[in-house]
Amino acid sequence: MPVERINIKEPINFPSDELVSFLDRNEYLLSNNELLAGSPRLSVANMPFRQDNHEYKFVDEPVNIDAAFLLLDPLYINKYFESRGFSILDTMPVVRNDSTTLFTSAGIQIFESVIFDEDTAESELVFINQPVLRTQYMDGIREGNALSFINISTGALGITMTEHYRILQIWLDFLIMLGLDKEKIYFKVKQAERKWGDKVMRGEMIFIVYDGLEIGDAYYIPSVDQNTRDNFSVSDIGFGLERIAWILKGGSFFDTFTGYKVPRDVNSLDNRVMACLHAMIILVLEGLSPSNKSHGYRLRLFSKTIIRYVKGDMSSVERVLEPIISRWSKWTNNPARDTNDVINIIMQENYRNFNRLLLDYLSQVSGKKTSGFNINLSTTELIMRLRNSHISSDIINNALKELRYGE
Amino acid sequence: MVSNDTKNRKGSIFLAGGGSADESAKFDKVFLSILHNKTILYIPIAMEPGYFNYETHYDWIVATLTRLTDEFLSIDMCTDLNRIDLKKILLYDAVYIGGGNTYRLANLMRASGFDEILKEYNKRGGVIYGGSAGAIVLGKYISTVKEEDNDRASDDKGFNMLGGFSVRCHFKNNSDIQSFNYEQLSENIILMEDTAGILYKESVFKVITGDVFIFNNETVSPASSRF
Repeated sequence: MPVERINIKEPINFPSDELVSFLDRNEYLLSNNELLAGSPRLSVANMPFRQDNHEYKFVDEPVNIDAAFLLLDPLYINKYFESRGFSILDTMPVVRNDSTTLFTSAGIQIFESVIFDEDTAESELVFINQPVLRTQYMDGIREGNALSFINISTGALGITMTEHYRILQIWLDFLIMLGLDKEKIYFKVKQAERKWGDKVMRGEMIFIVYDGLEIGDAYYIPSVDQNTRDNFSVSDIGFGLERIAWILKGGSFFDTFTGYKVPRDVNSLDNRVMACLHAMIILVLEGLSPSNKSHGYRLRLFSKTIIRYVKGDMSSVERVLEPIISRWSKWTNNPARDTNDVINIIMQENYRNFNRLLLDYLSQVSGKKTSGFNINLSTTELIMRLRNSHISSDIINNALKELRYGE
Repeated sequence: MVSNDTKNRKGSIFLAGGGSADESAKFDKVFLSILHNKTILYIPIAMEPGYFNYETHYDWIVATLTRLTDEFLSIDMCTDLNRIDLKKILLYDAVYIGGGNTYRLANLMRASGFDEILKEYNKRGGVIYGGSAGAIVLGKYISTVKEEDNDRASDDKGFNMLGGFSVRCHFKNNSDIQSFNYEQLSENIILMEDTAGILYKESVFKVITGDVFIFNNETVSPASSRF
């Protein structure tokens, strides 16, 4: 493996000559950046970045609808990167064991054993279409933000910074080929120092932004500490597939997740419900079961969030499951369950959590204890037992109406 | 959610010395036992984001707390304090403030106005759990850990929610207090070892676990079980 021996205690020249050269050569712009304001070396644009209420023009003026449909097929993207010399790797499971994270959070984790266990890399220039889960953004779910998405990413080991920017060029050529307007692509840069496991990764980080929407980032780490061999550099470049598809097709961001099969004006589910459903599906597809601890905790958390919004009205949820499952099935190599099993497990968990909601509600309005009832029964069975209990029918009927059961 | 029967009383404050999950397990169980709906808002921002931002921080809090109970704990995480207001925070039984750099934490909380939201939340019965930096920031001064002030220009005041006491965690021996600014920190400093856990309720500190000391007028002495 080619190596770079760099003393990481020396400050990295920021912004790097390679970055400046890359931006100048391609006439790209930087967003307003306090660190670089007034820099004679770089052109700075006054463009928004990550604003919550920013209205994206592409929502109503799609860029290239045909290209959005092409992105539904992982083979389409694979072909492009394979033709550029990348090894195409199989996706990793989203559910991880013995890893630095419980769930796969980024495509670069394909190199985790190389970085931490000092394994030999099968290939040092790779592309991967990686489904990922990021629970940390639960409070920020909105159009453009989901809990799970496809992180299309390239990784390279032991390359120079010039080569890293050459790979970024390949990415930008791909985006422009899809139809994105080069004039609307700009960058925000920073020096980054991020901890991964017991290693500190220091380097130059660029956010790639389109019309105010962050669509990807490129991180170059000149030197990753190794114990038994020389340090090496890492190039980590990744994009959110669904955000790119959103720009191309317009409309709702969450339409990509259904393969455009359930139009948003027909399906009125809240964005948070949609985001939690997608996340549940990818986990259940991989064989995860809900629980109160460990990996399964996430499943239960997502289901409880869904119930908080839909309560007992599950009809829209049931309708939308199959197209989402069909879509995710194309992107995972690790399906452990078929479509019907996935639907059954998700709905069973949703009804279990609705049962909990119903019992808590009844306890609150009636003043009577409901702790003796089993929430793992079917809702129909639970209601029957409630009707035979000390809680009045009127209270039960009102609760079911209030919680929209049977709608 | 902050319940109606506590809204006229200040909420409890749990101060943890910042040890490992095993070291704080007994104390954490006490914390979880008083939460009526088991809803917790976790704030990890005393630490810098990692390679995957705060994903591993969320993994950690879920693993740390869910192993202590068979009940479902509803744990949300907030990494942007500008997104949260009093109305939202009152939906939680407790706010859990994690450890890291105390000055970073205090600065971010003040800049967003979250310090005032937190005080009001506690006044209305909300429970606060502060681990390490999360505990220190609730005290009168945070210069008990002045070595964490990387800018050397930050405000040394804490949120003063502990009856005039300040806190220092990870206390091992007297050499830890050599760096104290004596003028500011001459009295009423709680020194907590890693295993220490204190419940502060109705103006009384109760030592639940581990060893706790009090620094007063240049003297360190063991704290009594209630003070």
